[in-house]
Amino acid sequence: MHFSDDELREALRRKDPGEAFTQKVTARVAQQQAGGVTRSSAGTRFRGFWHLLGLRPVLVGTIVAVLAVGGSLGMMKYRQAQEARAGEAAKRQALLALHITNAKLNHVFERAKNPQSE
Amino acid sequence: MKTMARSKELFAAFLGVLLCCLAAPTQAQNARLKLEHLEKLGSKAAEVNNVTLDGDMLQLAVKFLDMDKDDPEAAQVKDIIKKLKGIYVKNFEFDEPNQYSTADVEEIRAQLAAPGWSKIIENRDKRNAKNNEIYVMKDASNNIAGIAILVAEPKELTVVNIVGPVDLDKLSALSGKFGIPGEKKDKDREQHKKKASAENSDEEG
Repeated sequence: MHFSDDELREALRRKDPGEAFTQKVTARVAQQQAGGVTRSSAGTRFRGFWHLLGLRPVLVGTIVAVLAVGGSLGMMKYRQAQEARAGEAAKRQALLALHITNAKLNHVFERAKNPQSE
Repeated sequence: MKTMARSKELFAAFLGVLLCCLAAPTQAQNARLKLEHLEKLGSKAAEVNNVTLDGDMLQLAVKFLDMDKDDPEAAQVKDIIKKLKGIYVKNFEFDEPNQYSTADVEEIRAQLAAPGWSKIIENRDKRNAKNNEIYVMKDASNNIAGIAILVAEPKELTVVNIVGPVDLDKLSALSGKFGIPGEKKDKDREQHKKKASAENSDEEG
């Protein structure tokens, strides 16, 4: 196939794309910009959390202190309950032991006084 | 020369005091009987009461008895146990007679034959196979450092071993309800015995 110089010049000449093309390009650019803004706002929020911790040491300290005090109180209550259980058991054992001792002591004394008893 | 003799006397006195201090707790320790060999009877017994209270547990019991300020019985019990070093009770009640052996009892008697122990009461009823004995251990100051009560009857074997200064009169005079289930059972048993003896006398009459 052979093209003449005039044919080539006509084919490569500048042409106006038209109003519709310009509108399409403008719309697509706007759409891409909107998507970029969304991604950037999530990152800002994540950075903001650390920023908050960094800037509010009092708040962080208070949270840690509340957790520590709560934990210690819980542990103290648990130990007290355990000691109370052990103490009640020891008391019951002591009462039982003395009850048996008292009964057997009096039984032996009674038999010593009156061998014919029972 | 005089100074030398004086220092020797002082050293001897110091040694004497030291030995006394060491001997007192040793004697109190010796008042504890070995009762582990009785554990096997638990499986044969219809009822078992096993108490082992020493050291921290005894102090804990005193602390908790101290909380019952309004209870005169708790005060009585606390008064008795506050100076004790240990309370050990093994009580077995059987449905059938002869569930424990003579060897079980002899093993306890052998320990009570050791120096320091002296038998203060003994009731032996061969006809009914009932042997009840009370032993005390005294320290150098002639104070009671421990007691042992041995009740060996056909359907019952009880050994009570208390280590530490005990007042037998106070122990015997304890007369509270103690708030423990055994009390009711004892009363029921006594009533049952009275009823049985009344029935027997009616039959005889």
